[in-house]
Amino acid sequence: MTHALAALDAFKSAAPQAGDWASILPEILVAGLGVFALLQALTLPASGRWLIPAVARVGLLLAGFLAYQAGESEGARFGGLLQQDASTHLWRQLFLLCALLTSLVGGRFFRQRGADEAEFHHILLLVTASLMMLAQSSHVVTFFVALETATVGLYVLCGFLRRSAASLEAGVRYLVAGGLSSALLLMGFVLLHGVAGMHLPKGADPLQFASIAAALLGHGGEPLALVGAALVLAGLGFKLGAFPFHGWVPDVYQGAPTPTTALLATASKSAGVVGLVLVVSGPLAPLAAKLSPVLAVLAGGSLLAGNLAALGSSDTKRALALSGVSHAGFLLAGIAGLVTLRSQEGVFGAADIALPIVLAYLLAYVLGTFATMGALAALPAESDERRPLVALRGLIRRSPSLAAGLTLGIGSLAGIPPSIGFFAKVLILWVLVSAEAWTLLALAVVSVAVSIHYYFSIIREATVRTAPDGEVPPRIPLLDRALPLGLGILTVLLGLGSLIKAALG
Amino acid sequence: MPDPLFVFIAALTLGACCLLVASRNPVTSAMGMILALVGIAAEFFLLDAYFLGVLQVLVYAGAVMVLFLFIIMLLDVQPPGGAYPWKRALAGGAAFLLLSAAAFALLAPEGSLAKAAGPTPPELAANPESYATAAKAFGRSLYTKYMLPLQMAGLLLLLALVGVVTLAKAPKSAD
Repeated sequence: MTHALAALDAFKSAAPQAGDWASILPEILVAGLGVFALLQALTLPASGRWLIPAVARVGLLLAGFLAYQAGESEGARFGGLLQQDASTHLWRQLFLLCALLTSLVGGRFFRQRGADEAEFHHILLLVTASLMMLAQSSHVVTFFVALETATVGLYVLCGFLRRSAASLEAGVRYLVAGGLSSALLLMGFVLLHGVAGMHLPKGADPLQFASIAAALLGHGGEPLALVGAALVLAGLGFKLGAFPFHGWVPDVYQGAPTPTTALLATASKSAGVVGLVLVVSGPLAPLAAKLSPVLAVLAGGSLLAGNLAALGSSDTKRALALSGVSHAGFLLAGIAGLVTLRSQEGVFGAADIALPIVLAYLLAYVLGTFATMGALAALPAESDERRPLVALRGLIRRSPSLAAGLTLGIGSLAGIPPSIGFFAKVLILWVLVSAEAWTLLALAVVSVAVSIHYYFSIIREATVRTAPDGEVPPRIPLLDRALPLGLGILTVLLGLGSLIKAALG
Repeated sequence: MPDPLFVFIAALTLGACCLLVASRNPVTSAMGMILALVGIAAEFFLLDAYFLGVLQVLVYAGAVMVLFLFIIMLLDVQPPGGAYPWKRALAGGAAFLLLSAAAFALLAPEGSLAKAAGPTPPELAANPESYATAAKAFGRSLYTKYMLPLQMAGLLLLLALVGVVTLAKAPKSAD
């Protein structure tokens, strides 16, 4: 009896403590809501099904509040599997915002097309919870399990409109690309684990990010470590949709249901960014001098490849997908600047502001993307995967509020002042100036100029060109019109706010 | 001199891998893969990692490969006709051998070849990774240190289950 009790005590001291679980309360809440959505689908009568999205949205807001409350808590959790700091809670809020906006855009969209709302919310919430776990992981196992859970959910959401061949094809394409990227990532981590295991003292965990960094500090030049780092970068590059791993992006983004496209463009890209930031500032930090040129090449390639390919696109969703590649280039440029600044040390503490700048860029990108994608999703279309630019013609007559939302959103994505997108781009350029990355800076400026062309061709179709007469304006529900317009106005207000703040301080 | 049993099993595994890649009949390829996986399980046994070996047989050689075979037979894939492309297969195999030899020469840490050929070093004989050998130690670390990833893997399975049901159930008519 006493023996069993002693074993129980030993188990209790080694198992996660109550404080550990309390520190991931927002994630537990979101995942619990995801399971609850399924229970609601089982028990609610058909007339009460409106509760499912409502409960999910209220819960997401609550989780956002909890994450905001946790703003100051820092430290290692779960015996070093997780590491929380001030930016963790910002990433959590970003992912929650993406989930809330996807739920708002996707609710009616999927209901109209005969897809199940409960399953949509279930998958969306579990994906969100695992992305939030990803943002705080500091151990290869948690990092990989969180990323894989999110990716599996996104496969399903890509193929969610089962009667559309394009949606299913997008799902399969994303499955293949995602499987390849997971394999690359895992092989990279295995090699790094091997290097760490050879050089670490007994008792150290060679899967822990900090221990890998410690091992690489002395042995970073080993070919095994370099190949491992390259494979990890390639795997995350796939997730981010960055050059030269962006081949899957246009087809998947175009074929996937529009709300999923928005989620892929924002949450999945943010996951790539947060993964890359965690990896370059954790296990691969000792390799900074070797990493920054590689990241710069990836960034420059993405900027060029995305924008040049988008120039020739006549489909709105495809053009936005390719512009997403160039946005990934901007984000990578920010991370490359961050890595360079860290390795140089102490240019006005610029390295400390670089991460918040990348986050601000993501926020601007999320708002702009959901304004445009929300407007697209609200527009009736024969098939969701074909949304030619011509179909937008005369939108300003048919639905002024949607046209305004679309224009403001695209204006923010293009970086037109005074939108928040403009300030985000300026801040990234500032990081590049501080890091003295002149080639990348030139590429970024050129790519902004090039992107104006295709962004404006979308705006021109929607606002300037008129449709043939006699077309009946579609009836679009108030929420679907209000969301893009509200987000569009928000991009301008935030931009003006930051302008005033900059002018005052 | 390495263990003769190791050499025998390694040769068997490599032969099975060659069969897997070279065969034109998908069912033969799958059988080759099962043999290769069982061979690797046998190597785990030689390393005293009994638990990993059993898992390898149960999960990969058993469950996963049954799924593979099931799908191959369901799709009824026929091997392509025509003569076997010996030249291309041999050229591909030679190129792969050269590449992997070069990669090994470049990447393998100093002295690892000599270590692999020699007797088991004492620090490995003591087997520091106890959870690789015994189910009890494995379960202990799974339910203490790795409790959180275990829970997350549970959510992953639930997500996959719901996803499969969503993608596979009969379409509801839109109304």
